[in-house]
Amino acid sequence: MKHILSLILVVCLQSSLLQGQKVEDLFDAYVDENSAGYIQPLADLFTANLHTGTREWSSIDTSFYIRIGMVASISYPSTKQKTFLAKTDPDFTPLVAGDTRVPTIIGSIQPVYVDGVNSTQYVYPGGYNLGSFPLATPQVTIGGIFHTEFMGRYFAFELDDDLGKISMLGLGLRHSLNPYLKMIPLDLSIGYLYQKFEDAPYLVHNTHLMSLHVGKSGRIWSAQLIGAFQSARTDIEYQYTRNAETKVNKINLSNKQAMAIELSAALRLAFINVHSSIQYSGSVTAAAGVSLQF
Amino acid sequence: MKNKFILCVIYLSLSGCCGMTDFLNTKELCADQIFTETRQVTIKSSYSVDENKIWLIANKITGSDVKKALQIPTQAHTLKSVSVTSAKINYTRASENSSASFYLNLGAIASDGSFDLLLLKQQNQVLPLFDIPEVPLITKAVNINEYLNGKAISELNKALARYITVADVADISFIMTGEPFPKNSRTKFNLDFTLNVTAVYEICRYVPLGQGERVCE
Repeated sequence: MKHILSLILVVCLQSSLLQGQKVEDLFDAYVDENSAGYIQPLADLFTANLHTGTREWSSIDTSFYIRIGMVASISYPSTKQKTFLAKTDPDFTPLVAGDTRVPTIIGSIQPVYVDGVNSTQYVYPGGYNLGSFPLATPQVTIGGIFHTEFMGRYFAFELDDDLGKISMLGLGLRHSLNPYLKMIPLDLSIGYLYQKFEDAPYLVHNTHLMSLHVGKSGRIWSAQLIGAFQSARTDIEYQYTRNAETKVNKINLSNKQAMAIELSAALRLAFINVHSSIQYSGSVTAAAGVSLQF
Repeated sequence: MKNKFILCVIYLSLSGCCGMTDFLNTKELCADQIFTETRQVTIKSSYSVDENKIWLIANKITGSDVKKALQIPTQAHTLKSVSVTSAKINYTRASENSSASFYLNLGAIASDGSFDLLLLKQQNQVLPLFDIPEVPLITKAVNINEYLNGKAISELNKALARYITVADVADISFIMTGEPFPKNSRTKFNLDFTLNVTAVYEICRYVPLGQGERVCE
């Protein structure tokens, strides 16, 4: 089982980031102020991905339970995320200041050429035409403790081809509001989730999700609508070489989309839970998961 | 086994993951596909002058220097273009310098004689020396894009492309000639000539089908 989980995680990351390529190769298309705009959509997709399908069931049972399972999610970039407004290098003549729409890291493969004076030419690099961004994570939920459930996600492993050492930690809780609002015939709860994804030594991605859950559940089914505020910070650091000099580029990004809305449905057959979600936060993310509940 | 099956089905229904290819013993999910990538590089030629008459200094750059600087991956690729993006010079006056200025010419010459390019539009470009402040005795880098010879830059782009694609190619020398002003005054300075160059190439990457431009042949 452990082998399968590792395989899926490796598979997701490597196929997303192109196999056989170093992390710095992906990012160092730009080493100037265009870097942030180039990479931002990938960070936003990642945030959307981590924040989808995290809460399986609408209500929080009053008796103790444990759910152990897996959530697979996939984000589809919007058209807007495929391009950004970029500036030419300050040394280029004439200076074209931020009004050229060019591919982001997930955008079109084709570079954009700008002619300068005296046969000089500036080239905006193309992207990697990412149609979707998949990720799968193991998840444990423990609930029924004072109308509260706790959730944890964790994995760690090393990637081949200098792609770094991956680790992820997620910790969250959700508290039911129904004991205080008994007249409301819906499941109501509020939640918080912190996740840290690290691809050492290149990338650290910290996210916070504060959510309000409104739903309805029966014995074998559950449906919920989740409104959430999300905050994410991505710190990327990598070495690049120019003119035989090795330098370090640091990129710090914050998420562009603060609000997220998610619709989720689940079925429980004996001790097996199956759930699926669709979330919108600038891009659309779908998730599906299966868990065993005891 | 049941759990493994469910996980695989969920995952594969969501995406075509390349790593699953081996696991499922199928080759249909991924393939080597073409991507267009770019590399930017700075080619710098440094000169040190201490003369009171006309001088000529050459800095030789080999094909392997260019290839090494561009850091294009070693695996098979097709070069699409090489472009000079910008050029600049910066120079440092020594305290012993007594020239007010100097005349400058920059050229690029292939050692096999296949090209001989004057990189500046104007010959004998005048560069001041006494305008440089005492401290720190150095100019800010001067952008010389406006002064470049467009025809020579086009030729240089082609020559640099040959350096990347052809294994056995003649060396290229970046030549600086000049003369002090007033004549016979002692000209003592260091000058860096910097060319920013971008190479665009196609390369095969193993990714899910449909992500690359087309499948590699």
